[in-house]
Amino acid sequence: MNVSDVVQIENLTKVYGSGHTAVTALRDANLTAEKGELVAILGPSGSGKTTLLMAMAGIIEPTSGRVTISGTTSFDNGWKVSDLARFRREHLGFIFQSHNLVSFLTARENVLVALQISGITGSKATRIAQSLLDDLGVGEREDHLPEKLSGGEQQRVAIARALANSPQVILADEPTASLDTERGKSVMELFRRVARERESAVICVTHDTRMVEGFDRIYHVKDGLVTDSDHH
Amino acid sequence: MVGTGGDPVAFFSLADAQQIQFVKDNWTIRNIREREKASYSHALPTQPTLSSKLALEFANNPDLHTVNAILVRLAPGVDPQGVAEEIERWKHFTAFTTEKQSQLMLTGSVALAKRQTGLFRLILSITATVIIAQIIYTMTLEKLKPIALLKLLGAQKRMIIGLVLQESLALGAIAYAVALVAGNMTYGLWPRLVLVQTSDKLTLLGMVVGICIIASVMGIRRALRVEANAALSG
Repeated sequence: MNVSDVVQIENLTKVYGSGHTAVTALRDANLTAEKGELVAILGPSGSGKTTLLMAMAGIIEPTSGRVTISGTTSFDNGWKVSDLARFRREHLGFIFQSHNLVSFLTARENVLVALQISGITGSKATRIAQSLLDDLGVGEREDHLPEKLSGGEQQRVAIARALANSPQVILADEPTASLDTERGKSVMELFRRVARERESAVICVTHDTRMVEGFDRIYHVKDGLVTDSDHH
Repeated sequence: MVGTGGDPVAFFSLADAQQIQFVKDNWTIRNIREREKASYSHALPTQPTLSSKLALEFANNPDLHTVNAILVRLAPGVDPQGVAEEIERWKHFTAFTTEKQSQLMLTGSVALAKRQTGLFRLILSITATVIIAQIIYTMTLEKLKPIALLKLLGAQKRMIIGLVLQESLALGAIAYAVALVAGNMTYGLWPRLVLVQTSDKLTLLGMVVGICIIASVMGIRRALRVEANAALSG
């Protein structure tokens, strides 16, 4: 493992079911991501890219192989649910295609929830949330509910929430799929800035080929095989 | 009947004479009615409907104007037991101290009312628990996606439990406040009143908290079963 690698996936295999009904979603997948790097995982629907993302997030347990993030290997020595929750809390940030903001909380409260989960509360949490929203250009919209925000603004709030726990790795599931090209590029620019300024690795699972130019490293997933790796 | 000089004036039978002696004139009857009405209209403050019926009954029937009991207020330092024993030396007299009276009431008609009220409260408590449990469970079902998201972000079990519990307790707090205000505003309209003391209010508050905790169990169990990956779908 390279010193600057924050994500190291080695020979990851995931098989769903058993016997005749067994489906191999991933076969011997290998992947690395360094600090400050923008990584794309490209592939069509059903190729296994979401399984790869869920394995990185500690949501599913690999059949074999290892997922190591910031030096911590998940599912090591019989992890419990609470260990996985801590693993995600300490190392990972999440961004989704549908933004997944809590509809009955304001933009600021959505960020505050993530801070509270990380154990940051009170005025310190409020200050950090304000700073993140300001930094991402939605500070003036902090008191608005998600339904009052545009798609781009919602995605910015979602990014602010993902950054709340200062993660070393941000996992994004189709982050630009629901945005037009211009807004998609804007979000990619934000990812670039976040990766550079915070030295976080941003890993995007996507089939949105419009944005491939913006990534530092691209992995292709097809039929469970991580077949190619382009370094830009 | 004899005249002022002592000579017989008219002859009546004994029964007629007694009737004449005790027949009251109209002014006296009206006076008694008013007095009875005034004194019985507030005789039973916890049962205003019964009070007003009693007042009417007594007012229309002056023959019921009899003394049944005398309340005695003792000077400070006097031994109530000694006074009671002194009174009971008289034939047909029974004396009760305040404490004895309370005991008599509590083991008599009040005991029955207490049991009825207790049963009513028990049924209401069970019904309230079921209703709150259903509300909380439904509210939890509506929030499964946000709960899954919280789990994905690394929320601990106690945070998820706390959220459901908070919702349940908030519901209980609103119900408690509404019950107190409604009770204070409408107690005079009910046929039978129950004296509610501060200790009763605190007991009720404890019951509400208990009911809310029990009612939230189903919602908590459902929330804890949500998988984090549900946040990634749809």
